[in-house]
Amino acid sequence: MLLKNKFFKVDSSELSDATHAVYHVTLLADCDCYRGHFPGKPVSPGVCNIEMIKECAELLTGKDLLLTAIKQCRLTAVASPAVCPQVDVTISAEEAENGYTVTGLIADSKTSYMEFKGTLSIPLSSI
Amino acid sequence: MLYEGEAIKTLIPQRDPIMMVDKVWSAEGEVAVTGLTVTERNYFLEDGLVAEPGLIEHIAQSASAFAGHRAHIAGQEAPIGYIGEVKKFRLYRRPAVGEELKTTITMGTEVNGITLVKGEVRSADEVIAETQMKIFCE
Repeated sequence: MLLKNKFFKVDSSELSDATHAVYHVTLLADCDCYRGHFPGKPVSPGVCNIEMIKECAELLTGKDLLLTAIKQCRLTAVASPAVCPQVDVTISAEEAENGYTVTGLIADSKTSYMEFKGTLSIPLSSI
Repeated sequence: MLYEGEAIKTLIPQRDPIMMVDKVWSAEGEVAVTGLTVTERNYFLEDGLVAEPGLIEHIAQSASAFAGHRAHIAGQEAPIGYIGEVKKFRLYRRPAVGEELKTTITMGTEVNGITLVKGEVRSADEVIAETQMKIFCE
């Protein structure tokens, strides 16, 4: 995985069933992305939060997945390791043709940072 | 070619290791064309391919470079923009090291600091990813 244990680490998880889970994660302040995003003003890149949802969906399904479509992804608040050192990533992954329809939410007890709806596909090479 | 290499830093606030635009080919009216050559140093490289968030970031920074170019012309500082929403993203394939991406950005009208942007990423005339996004500026 591209960003697990670099941009975030999973502290614990709660699996409700095979298609729903909550991952309690820490945003890692020493990730090198903050050197450039932005110098002197670390803000978690929205696309890294999207990748975090993808990687949590991979943990849930146990498969390598490709983000082939985003129906809608709303970034509702600016996240950073200072603002929200710990967040919950809530994932629902329903089986669909060649992959999963995934909804994801990144939030802490006070704020919702991202709401995601998209399609994660099983790469053709691994079917 | 309007900007390349170091000159891109006058347009966008992102810096290494996460800069995802290295050329602005043209900017006219509502449309700009930007570029990125995929190198082995690319931040989003996984198994020799640019991962999906890298393509979204490339489109976002392309829009940011376009906004920075417009700010230059108006004699203002380049704004810091944040992605507010990604909609209708489609990935057709991930590009490999050595590929030269050429991206068309169509900028909508700004309403209350939020701009609707469309981006289409091509490699050698083949569309490999596209999206719409809302960008808000500070």
